[in-house]
Parts: sequence; C-alpha cells; structure tokens
Amino acid sequence: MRPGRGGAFRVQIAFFLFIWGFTFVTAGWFAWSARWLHRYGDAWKPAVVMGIAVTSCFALLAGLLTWTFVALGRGENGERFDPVPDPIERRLLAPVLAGWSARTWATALALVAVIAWAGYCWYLQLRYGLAVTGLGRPVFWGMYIVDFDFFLGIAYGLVLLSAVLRLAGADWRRAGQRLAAMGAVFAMIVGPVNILLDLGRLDHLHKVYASGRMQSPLLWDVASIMTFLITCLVYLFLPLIPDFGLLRERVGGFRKPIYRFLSFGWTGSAAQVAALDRANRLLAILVVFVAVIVRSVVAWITSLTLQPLWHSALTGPMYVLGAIFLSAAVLALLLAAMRRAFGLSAVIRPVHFDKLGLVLVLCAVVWGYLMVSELLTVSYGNEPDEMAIIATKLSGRFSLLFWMAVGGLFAAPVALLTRKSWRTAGRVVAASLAVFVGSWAQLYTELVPVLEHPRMPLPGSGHYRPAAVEIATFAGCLAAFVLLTMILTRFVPVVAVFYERRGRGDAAAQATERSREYQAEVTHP
Amino acid sequence: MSRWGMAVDLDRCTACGACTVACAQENNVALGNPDRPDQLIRWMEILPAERGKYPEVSARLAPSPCQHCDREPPCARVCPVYATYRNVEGLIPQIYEQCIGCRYCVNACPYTCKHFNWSRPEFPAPFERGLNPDVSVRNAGVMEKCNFCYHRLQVVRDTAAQEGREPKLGEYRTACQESCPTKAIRFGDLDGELEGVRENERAFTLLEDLGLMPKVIYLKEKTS
Repeated sequence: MRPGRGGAFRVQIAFFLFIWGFTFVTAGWFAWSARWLHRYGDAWKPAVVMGIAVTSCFALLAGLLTWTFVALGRGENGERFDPVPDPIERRLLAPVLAGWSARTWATALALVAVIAWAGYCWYLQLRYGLAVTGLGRPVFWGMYIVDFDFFLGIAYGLVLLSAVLRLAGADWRRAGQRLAAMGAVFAMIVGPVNILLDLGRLDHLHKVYASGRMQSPLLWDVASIMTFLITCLVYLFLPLIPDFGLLRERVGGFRKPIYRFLSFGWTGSAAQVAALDRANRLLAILVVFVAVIVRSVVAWITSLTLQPLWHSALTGPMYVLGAIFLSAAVLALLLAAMRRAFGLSAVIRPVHFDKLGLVLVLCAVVWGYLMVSELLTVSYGNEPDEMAIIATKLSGRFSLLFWMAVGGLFAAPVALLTRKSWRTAGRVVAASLAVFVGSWAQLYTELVPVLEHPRMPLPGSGHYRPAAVEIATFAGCLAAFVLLTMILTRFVPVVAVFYERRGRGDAAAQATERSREYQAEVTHP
Repeated sequence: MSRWGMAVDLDRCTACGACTVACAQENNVALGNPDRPDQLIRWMEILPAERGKYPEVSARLAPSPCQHCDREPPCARVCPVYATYRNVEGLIPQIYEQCIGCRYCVNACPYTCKHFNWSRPEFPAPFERGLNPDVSVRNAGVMEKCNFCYHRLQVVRDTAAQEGREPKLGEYRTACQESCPTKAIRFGDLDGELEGVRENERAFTLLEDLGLMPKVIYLKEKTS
C-alpha cells in the first residue's frame, strides 16, 4: 500500500482546498475593494493591479503545489530506504534524533527569558500607550520601523540570494539552501511583529482589510507581506519533502505519523524526484520576482512621500541590494553557528565561507557606489532641506551611526575579504557581524534623521532616542529568531540530506558535463 | 459648494497665543505631560521662523493650523484606511474611530501639522467640566489635527435648517478666529467671505513650491 492514504490523505485534500480557497478569497477581496473604491470615485486601479499580481502569484503557487503533489502521489515505489544510514546522513540527522543537551536547554531558557522581558515591555506599552517609547514629534517612526525593515531585509534577501544561486547553478549553495529558507520564514514571522508594536490602535487592524485604501503604500506592504510569507513557507517546505520521507523511516514515537503526513508519500522514485526538481526550479524563478518587488515596496513606503532625502528613486535599489548584503552575512553567521553546534565541518566547508565572502565584497562595492551616487547627487544639488540632514549624518548627531554603516557595509568587507586567501571562516564571520550591525545602522540613518528635520520650524520638537521598551522588544525579536531556529533544528536537518547526498553523487559528473558544453574540442585547421 | 479657508494677517498678529489656547479648549485637546514636550498636542501652533544671522536676527511668528491642502493632500493620499481624506468642501477631516495609528499621514505631511495621541488623554478635576460636548475626546493611539472647528459648521447648518434659511455669510466661525484680539485670523469661504484674499499682493502660503495649494493663506507684514 502506498503511504499517505487514509486520514492523512483527507487532511492533504483539505489543505489543497484551503490553498485554492485562499487564492479565490484574495482575488475576491481585491475585486470587492476595486468595486467599492470605484463607486466612491477613488483610485481603484491599484486594487486591480495588486489583485492581478497577488492572485496570480497565489494561483501559481497553488497550481504548482497541486501539480507536484499529484505527481508525488502517482510516483511508483522507488528506492527502499537503506536500513543502515550512511555517515553523511548520520551526521546530519544527529541533531534531530538526539535530544538537547543541558547547555542547549540553558540557552533556550535564556532566550525565553529575553522574549518574556520583551513581552512584558509590550504589555507596558499596551497599557500606557506609545508614550513609553522615545517617539514624539516630529520623529513619529523610530526603532520599530527600522527593526521591521531589518528583519524583512533578512527574509527577502535570504530567499532572493538562495534562489539566484540556484538559478545560476552554483553547487555550493546546497549547504545553505535550507538555512536560508528557514531564516527567511522566521524573519518573516518576527519582522511584522514590529508593525504590530508600532500601531497605535492594534484593535483596529482589521480595518486594513475591511476598508483598505489600495492607493496607500501601506496596503501594498500588507499585500506583499502576505504573499511573501506564504511563498517562503512553500519555498522552505518543498525541498523538505525528501527529508521528511527519510525521517519517517528513521524516527519512532509521536513524530513518525507527523513525518509520514508531511512526506506526502515520498519514496524517492525517479518520477517523484523529477516532479520535485521541476517544482523547485519554477519556484526559484517565482520567488526572485516576488522578493525584488516586495523589498522595493518596503522602500517605497518612505520614498513615495515628499520628504527630503526619502523622496529618492535610489531607495528601492538600495533596499534590494541591502537585503542581499545583509542576508549573505546572516547566512554566513547561520552556517558558522550550525557548523560549530553540530560538528558539520564535513558539509559546511571553507569554500562556502569563501564564496559568501565574495558575495559580501561584491555587495560592499556596489553599496559604496550607490552611497556615493546618493551623496554626490544630493550635495551637488545643495538644497538646504536635504543638506541639513546630510550634515547631521556626515558630522552631526548621527555621524557615529552613519560611519558605523559605512565601516560595516563598506570598509570591513573590503578590508577583510578582498583576497581569496583572506576569506577564511573566521574573517567572514567577523565581516558578517560588521555587516549585520552596519545594515541596522544604515536603516536607522535612512529613517530617523529625515524625521528629525521637518521642513517647518516646529516648537518643542525633540531629538529621538530609543527607549528601553524599544530596545527590549528588538532584543526579544532577535531572541525569538534564534529560538525558532534552534527549535526547528530539532525537527529537520539543517542541511538537506537528500540534496546533499545527491549532490555528492552527481556534482563531479555535472561539472564535467558543464565544462564540456563550453569547451568544444579545438582541432587544427 | 463652499471652499473653507483661513487668512492669517501677519501684520496684525502679535503672536499672543490666544488662538492656541482657544483651540485647545474648544477641541478638548489633551493637557499633555510636561516631561515630554515632544509628545504635546496643539492643533494651532505659533511657528517661530528665524530670519538673518546673529546679531541681525529677527523672528517671524506665524500661527499654523493644519494647512488643509486643496490639491492632493499627502496625508490623505497615504492613509491606508480612509481615516483622513479631502471632503467635497475641501476640508480634511480626521475620523478617530477609523484611524489605526500607523502615523504614515504625519510622516508624509510636509508641514508636520498632525498630532498623535501617545497616551490616553487625562483631564484632572476642574478641567473635565470644561470639555466641549460637541467634540469627542480622542482615544490613545490615533492621529488628530485641526479640522477648522467642523462641529461648528454642523451647528450652523442645523440652526439654519431649523429656522428654514440658508447659513449666513460669516456665521461659521472658528475658535481661533473668535479669540484673536487683533482680528489677524479671518475664516470663511474662499469664494465668499475671503474672496480675493489669494490675489492680495501680500498673500503667500507655506511651502508654495510643493504645489499643494494650502487653504491657509498668510498675508505678510507691511514693509513701511
């Protein structure tokens, strides 16, 4: 009998109905919004454009999933899972099969404590209002929005980076593919929490759906977060299926039926492998488009206003590049952490850090170019409103953060990683930490200095300084990100066993094949 | 259709601040926390614009409410939930119960003339008896701003309808206008009471080059 029939089969059918239902509900929501916006004589075209974009993305995802799972269900019985696991599998599955050590539990408890502290701060804010933050007039947006941009940058960048590497056929991506998708999903969960923290009336959030005005970039953001969260869940889930199939055979107890359900009848037959490969390839193309657009939407929230320095066409490209930059750093940090925690030096090799270091250097150079473009354009134009803000960044109140951004995003990667022999794991991790801090500092100096310099001379306007509540919630978000990663490593291998094993088998043959493609034999004339 | 606007004659204005106080009293504006001046709410403010450099320095002081942009108000453009919009008479209302408190509107406003309720407004014992029953007290977490004392227009219309007549010219008056001792603030229909004020040779608006066509029109000081 094929596995996956019976109760689980019905749940799977319900899951498909849900995806398709969700797609139609989304389409209906946009159509309904467009209709009432049109009736009230307001801009209805954004609703139509967004409706087409979001719905077609969901429809593609739903179609892809349905197609793939039908193919998986039809696939004939394939490989018998080897009763004796090979060393690679044993090494990669060890964290899943073994329990947590006392030290891991202690770390987890410490993280829970940080999250609880953040939760208490959120409670204080709900009780006393946003007055407990450092926000005021004219700085109405502060650290919450910076943190939101930051986490979303991690999510969008990780997906974008890993999908581009996949499409480019870079073999070394394999070790980081799972970690990238995992990190993206968790950043996508943690990031939008900051929007909830920032809202004055959390209890009125439903009005965004009930009477959303589609010409507002905030609605674009809502739609893009919704789309991307679902897209990157699928992006994480599909390559997990073969590993769920393996885990189904390897674990017992309460986890076995869960893995059986999640493996969707995976047996590893040639037809199933082909179906999954096709799905992953199509998904990689889809997520590149989605990630670039949704990252730009985040940038447009500020750049579509009339405020000096915000109102710049460069913001979108800068945010997209920043996301790739930040996510390359996060991926290097995740790889280093996993290598250390689970002894994966056989899978996560020096070459991975070398390549990621190269990505960091390239991003640093492009970042430097974009930053110089912006500074030159603004200072040559010499508009007083813009120059006042630039001055606080270069040598004023925000100079420390600004030069931290320049140091972290340009100087550190270039100084540490330019030569191949320099790109060791230790240096890449050091540069990644610098990029991590620098990215946050850059997002901060893009947002706050502009708000601190309103065009009108407002009386009683103060300087913004993040309050304890804002710092605590950021710490809580970081802790939640780490804790979620730790928990998931207990349930799935951090490097895809199936793809790693297959890569080891095929990589050499594929490389030879590829090199033969572009090196035709030269014959003497 | 009326197009409500305001003319502020800076030649008459003494920057006494009576408009600020009258506005706060009329519109149940929260008293605020003296430790956080940056979180203070004042719909009508006196903006100090410095001119020249020390020692030849002078200040131009201008009362500044919401500018009620006539063309594409940036706040209304970005509001995600229709909490603020431009109505048919050119007023830009704020619907407190619709607002979700995202503060996008004020970040998009070039005049930064909207305010956020950072905490629940408190009115200690004697003040609560002075609350205006025609105006709601805002919740914590929503934006608010000058709406040209819109509740007074409603009263004027109701009264006129009861008496079976049209509202009279100059019947709709704002609190700041009434309290101004030098009659520097005039309010009315830009095609009625204030007709021709835009053509006045002293007339200017704030940040004119952004093309938002504010309906608060300033008349600069007479030179001689």
